[in-house]
Parts: sequence; C-alpha cells; structure tokens
Amino acid sequence: MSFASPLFLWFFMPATLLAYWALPRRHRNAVVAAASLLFYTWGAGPHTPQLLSAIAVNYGAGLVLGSTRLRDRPRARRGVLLATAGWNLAMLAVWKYAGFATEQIDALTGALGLGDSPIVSLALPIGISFFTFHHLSYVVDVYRGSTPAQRSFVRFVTYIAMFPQLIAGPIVRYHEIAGQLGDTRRDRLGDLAAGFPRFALGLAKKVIVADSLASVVDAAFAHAGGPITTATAWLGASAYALQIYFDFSGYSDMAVGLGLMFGFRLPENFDRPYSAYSVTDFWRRWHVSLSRWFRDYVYLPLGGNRGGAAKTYRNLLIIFVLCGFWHGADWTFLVWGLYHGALLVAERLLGWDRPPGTAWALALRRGMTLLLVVVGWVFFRAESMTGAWGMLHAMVIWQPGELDEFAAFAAGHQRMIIFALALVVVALPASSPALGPLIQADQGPAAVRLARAAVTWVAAPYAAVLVAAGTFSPFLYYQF
Amino acid sequence: MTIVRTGPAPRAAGGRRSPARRAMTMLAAALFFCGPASAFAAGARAVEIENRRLPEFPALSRAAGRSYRT
Repeated sequence: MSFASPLFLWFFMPATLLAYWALPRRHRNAVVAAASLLFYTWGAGPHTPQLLSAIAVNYGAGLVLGSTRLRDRPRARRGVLLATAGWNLAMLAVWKYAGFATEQIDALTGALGLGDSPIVSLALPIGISFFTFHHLSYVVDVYRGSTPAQRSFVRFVTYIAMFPQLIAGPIVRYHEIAGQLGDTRRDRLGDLAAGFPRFALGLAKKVIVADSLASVVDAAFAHAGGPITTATAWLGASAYALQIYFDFSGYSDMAVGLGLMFGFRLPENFDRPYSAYSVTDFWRRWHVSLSRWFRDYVYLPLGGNRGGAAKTYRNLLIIFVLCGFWHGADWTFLVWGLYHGALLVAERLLGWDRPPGTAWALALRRGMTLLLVVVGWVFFRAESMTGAWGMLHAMVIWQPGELDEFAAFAAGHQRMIIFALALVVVALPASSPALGPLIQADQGPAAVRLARAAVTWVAAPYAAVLVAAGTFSPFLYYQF
Repeated sequence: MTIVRTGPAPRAAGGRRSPARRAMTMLAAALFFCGPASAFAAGARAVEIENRRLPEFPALSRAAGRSYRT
C-alpha cells in the first residue's frame, strides 16, 4: 500500500487515526503495531511470514542478550550476536541477492564452456532491506549495552513494523526511538497538528513534482542503450536527479509527518543535499539515516579513520560498495557505490572535504558537486551498464541533434516549468536570503508563512486530486 | 561502549503553534483524511467528467509497488 494511494489516504489512515485516538493510551502501541502488520500484509501478502519470523528471531535474541544469565559470559553473548546478525544477513542475501549471484555463476560457467547453471528467481519481499537494518540495529545496540532489551513484544513490533518507516525508511536506529516507545505522554494533539503539514508537503513533492518528471526520465533513459543526443542525455540525467530527490524526500517528509501524527519523532533523512559543497558533504545531507547506520554499525567497527590514511580510504570504499549493493543487486549499483567511494577518497586526498574559504569558490564547488552527483545518478537509474555507458558517452561526447522524439513529447511546457522551478529550489543553499526562511519552520515574514500555508491548503488538495484521478506512480525507493 | 540516553520523547513539535492555527490545521487534516470516506459513506458518488474514466475502487489486488495508472 503506497502512501500516495486512495486506499491509504482515505481508508487506512482515517480508520487507524480513529482507532489510535479512540482507544486508551496504553493500547496505542498495539494499534500502531496491528495497523502496521495489516499495512505490510496488504502490500507484501505471501511475504508477511518472513517479516514475522525475523521479528520473532530478533525479539528472542534481544531477550537472550539482555538476560542476566549472559551478563558475565562475553563469548556466549558474542556468539548470540553473530548468529542473529548472520541469520538476518542470510535472509537478505537469499531474498535479495540469490538471483544476481546465480546469474553471475551462470554467465561464468557459460563463458568457461561448462554449460548452463540454474538461476534462482525470487520475488523481493518489500522493505526487506529496511527492516533487516532495523533488526541489526536493535541486536547490536542491545549487545553493546547502548539500550536495554525490549521486553514488550508489542513495543518491539511497533519499532520494527511501524508503517510510516517500514517500507522505505527513514532507518531508525533502535537507541534513537527506544525512549519514545514507552512514553505514554507522546500522543499530543500538537503532534497531530505538526505532522499533517509535513505529510502534505511530502505528498505534494511526490505527486506534483516527482511524478511529473517521471515520464521525461523514462523517455530519455529508454534510449540509453542506443543512439541518443547530448541534449536528451543531459535532460534525462538532470530530470532524474530531481525526480529521485523529490520522490524520496517527499516520501521521507510523509514518513516524518505520519510519525508525528502517531507521536513518534523519526529522524530526518534530507538536508538540502544538492547544495552540498563536496560529495562528502552530500552524504551528510542525502539519506542521512542510511549514512548514520553505516557509520555506526560498519565504518566505526572497521576502525573508521583511526588506523591511518590507507585504512580510512579502504573503509570508505568498503562502506560505499556495501551502500551501492544495499540499494540493489546489480553491477550498476555496485559501480555507483564505488564511484561515490572513490570521490570521497579523492576529496580527502585533495583536502576538498572541507568548505572553501571564499564565496566564489564555494559556489564553484557546489556546482561541481552537483555535476558529479548527477553523473553518478546515471549508473543508479540505468537498466544496465551498457545503458549507463551509452548515456554517459552522449553526455561527454557531443551527439548532435535536438531532443529525441519521445523525450520532446514528454517534456511539455508544464513539465519544463516544474523542472526549472524544482532545479532552482533544490540547488539554492539553505542560507540563501530567498530560500532560507521558506524552508525553516515557523520563521520568516508573513508572506513566507503564507507560502507555507499554501502547501497545506492548495498543493495538498491538488495532489489529492491527482491521486484520486489515478495519475501517480509508486515511490522509487519501494524497489529497494 | 557508547551509552545513549533514551529518555521520553521531546516536547511536542507543534507545541508553539497558536490554538487557532492548530485548530485550522486539525480541521485541514480531518477534511483531508476523513472527507472522502465520510462523503462516500453518506452516499456521495463521483461522476465522470467529460471523457475521463473514473479510477477503479481500491482492491486487495492493487497493493504496494503497483501503479494505479489506468
């Protein structure tokens, strides 16, 4: 069930909100947990047992790790942690990567003349990458003693399956939310009033901006494997950069808003990433909850930057290859991860991970960073490496001609206006006089406050009309 | 070992809003989420506009990851 669907907006949400506010406070976690399982079952159907079994295994492991019997037995605790983490990663490996791995083996045996080998084809359980990372966060936090094990099964299910973040994040580290799960004062009317405008903003970003650009992107990338003009390639790549930002940050706004409506403060996922002054800075601003997860549970345990320059560079490359592979089982995602890892290493070598001193240098670096990120998105979006190279070739080597026929058709006047406005909005830094007050809540002059209110009262109803008319598409991050 | 404080949730994010603004926002939320289903329950039905076909009613077979595009 998508957040931007009639079923969710006008059937699931009213029913869940009514149940949440009608029942006594002590039952409200149970309402969220039950509604979340229904939400997942509606979308994932036969894959629901995988989520339930993962919940059962990790809940049990948490109790064992938190028990007093194991307090003085570090080896046993470590064994339980490794077994549970291994089980979680094995689930992810089988369901997400088995198909890719067997395809590579088949290609290898074919190249060596050893004949065909069987290829596994499994449907990906929706949200598995996200709930696996939540489970890993939980068992590691309990093992480290950062937070006690959760004894209430209902609260544990609420953490793992909470529908605002179940399918596509934000990735909530357990210690960030543990205190909120047991807070019976958390359901305040003020939260509901604060959550709705945020949800409305996200819906507008997704349905009005991201979905408008989808057809332009699809038309451009459809040509990526064959002859493509430079104009089409650049239009497709830059439109995709905007589409994925408005799609995913819109989803995250909706998730944070929904969380607030049910009394939870979920972590922010975006901080104006396209105004970053370096790729290092970009990763402090893009999908922040994923970056923090990798930092806390992989980068720092690997040694972080404590073992000298060479080890730091190695750790950065490992993190970004894993990050790419986490997004999808394909060479395109691996290359995308490696590309970003290599850029981070290069920035450290050149000292470009720190902000430049002058205003013009800052503007130049922002432009360069945006360019590098847009180039990276080509790998992320392309269906294959051949398609990605074709697109990049056309972007770098001049291919004469105007927009291809389909791209020109898709890029109508209305979409081009949205494209231009979106580009201006995302590329301006938050500190700019024009934009700063607009994006910082409860600040700025009356006119700016009015503009924010317009999102709630005009953009959200318009987005709702588009949803009701059936003109939206699923969130991009649902596929991960 | 890192010890992280896990206290109760911070103060309500909407706590600084004036009562009138809060009431207006709550009204907007109620209209947005409950309006269509309430109207449907009260017997209101959408009608086709010109040649635009009405989307189908939500069904189990139309779940996450599938487009409602008609």
